[in-house]
Amino acid sequence: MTNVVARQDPEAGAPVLPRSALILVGTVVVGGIAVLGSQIQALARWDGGDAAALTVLVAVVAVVERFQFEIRYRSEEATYSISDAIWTAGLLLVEPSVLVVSVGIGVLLGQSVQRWASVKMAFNVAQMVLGIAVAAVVFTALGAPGADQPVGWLVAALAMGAFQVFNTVAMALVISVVERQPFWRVALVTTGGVHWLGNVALGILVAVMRTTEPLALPLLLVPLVMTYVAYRGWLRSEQERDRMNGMARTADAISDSGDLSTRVTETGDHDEVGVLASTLNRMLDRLESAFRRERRFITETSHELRTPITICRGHLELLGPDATREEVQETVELVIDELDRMARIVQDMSSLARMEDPSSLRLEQVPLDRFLVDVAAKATQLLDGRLRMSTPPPASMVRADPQRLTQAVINLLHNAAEHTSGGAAVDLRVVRETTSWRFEVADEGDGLAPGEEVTVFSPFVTGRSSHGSGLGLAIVSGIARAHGGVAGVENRPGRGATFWLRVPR
Amino acid sequence: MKVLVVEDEDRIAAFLAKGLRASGLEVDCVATGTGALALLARQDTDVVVLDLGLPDIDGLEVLRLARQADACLPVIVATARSEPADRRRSEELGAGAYLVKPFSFGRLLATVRSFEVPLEA
Repeated sequence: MTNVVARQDPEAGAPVLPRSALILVGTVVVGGIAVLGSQIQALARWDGGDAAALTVLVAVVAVVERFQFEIRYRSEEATYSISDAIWTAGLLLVEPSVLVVSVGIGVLLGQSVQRWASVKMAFNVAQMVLGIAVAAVVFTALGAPGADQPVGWLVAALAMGAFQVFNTVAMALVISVVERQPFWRVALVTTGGVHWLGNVALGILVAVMRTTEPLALPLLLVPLVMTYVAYRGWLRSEQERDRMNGMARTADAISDSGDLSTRVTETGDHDEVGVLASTLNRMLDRLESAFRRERRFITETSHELRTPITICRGHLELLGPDATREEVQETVELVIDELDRMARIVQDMSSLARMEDPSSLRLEQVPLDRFLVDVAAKATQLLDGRLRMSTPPPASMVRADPQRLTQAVINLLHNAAEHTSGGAAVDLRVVRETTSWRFEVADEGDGLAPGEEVTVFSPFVTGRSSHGSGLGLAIVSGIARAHGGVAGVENRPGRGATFWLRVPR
Repeated sequence: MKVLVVEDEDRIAAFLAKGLRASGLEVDCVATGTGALALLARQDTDVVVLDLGLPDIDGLEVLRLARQADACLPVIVATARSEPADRRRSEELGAGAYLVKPFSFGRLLATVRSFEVPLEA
């Protein structure tokens, strides 16, 4: 049996169906009610056996309806159960009116246990009632043979074929209307042929056993349960294959178009494929932002290199044949100076690129006191006696790449030197925190403009007085991150700033 | 003819001024947008050479205000910004030319000279 209804959007309260779909659903429901109504006359002719058959059929269907396979398909959710097998057996064993009423009550009971929306339930019940009525008409028209003759099996199969065709058409119609797709395209894909064949064969077997040896019926349960388990596994693998194919298509599309903004569809399932899909999307997020960062970096770098090139080009171009010795000398010095600026940018760019890779670190235990003495020695020329350094706790060690860490602290000192003037002191401190060491460089310059606290660590965000490459603080931040730490600044606008970098202890 | 060079990078302003003066033009140099607008208020500028990355006001805003004050003032944008969006915006705001750094001085001079002849001639 195949039930279908538009899948509800979890965000929206109720499914929004187009008018044509509502008309279709309404027609099916009215048709179903009409068929059930027409059985009332037959009801009067029922005997005790018919009533018992009804009870058994309803009970069995209500039970098997609870063991359904749900298959999500496009915007639809199709559910399969072995109810069709019961209907096949019913065709061969009971009065058509008993079968039709059983289908109505059985499907209704089975679905109300599942607490589905009333529209969905009404449509499904009506669709089943109409379908089985069609099957009963076909079966009766072909002579309604019994289960004890092979021709009866064939006729039952034909009748169930009509039932299947009716259901497929009804389901495909709803999908094609809701999705505005050509009917035949949907109908071709939604036919569950194998499933139908299995149910019909099982139904015929039940009918044959009921006729020849009813006591053997419980034996059927064993292969049935085994088939159920195997079938469920097979369906799941089919669904997984579909989702994997979808992911592969998306991945192919991404590699063909290079469009990293595309994402694979996440169904919200928490199985392996669902986890894989969300992992893939997380990876794409990271890739996309990395590429975007890289593009911006390239744009900014080329922008940054344009200025020194313009200066060199302009000054050289104006150096005419009658230039004086002094003019030539002046231009040469200026060009060399600008070439140095370009060299610094290029050097810092490659440092920055290396910094992003934590595996490039050479970590070792570094004694803090010796580290600070080394840094101070390197900064002597830079700060010219303005450096004030506090001594770290005795025998303190930090696990770091000493070269990189030195570069980071020197860059911070450079930054302080550039943004302070005169004899203003620059403080270098190492503060012990619970899980990390915090290297601080405090100056008494002008501080940053409010809001610059974050952007200042981005490449090429330099103050006016900067003579650096514009990458110094970006490198500090990169070194901190590579060590599993972070860099930041405490800003005191107008009174200075404390730049810091934190490295885990 | 008087050229106003709006450029915050001293060494670029220096060669522009030197070259333009050597070609017989009068040159004013300013390093900020505010300075440029103040000079333009005197209304004796014939052509502006404008950098976009200025320290105070964005060059595009300077361009907008300058053209608002004098719709006939030729403005040559000379900038390191190579993105098409900046070029488009400049053209929309009425820039007479858009030169991306590094440009040749000869090209800049020719562009400045092209605005020397009155349009109706």
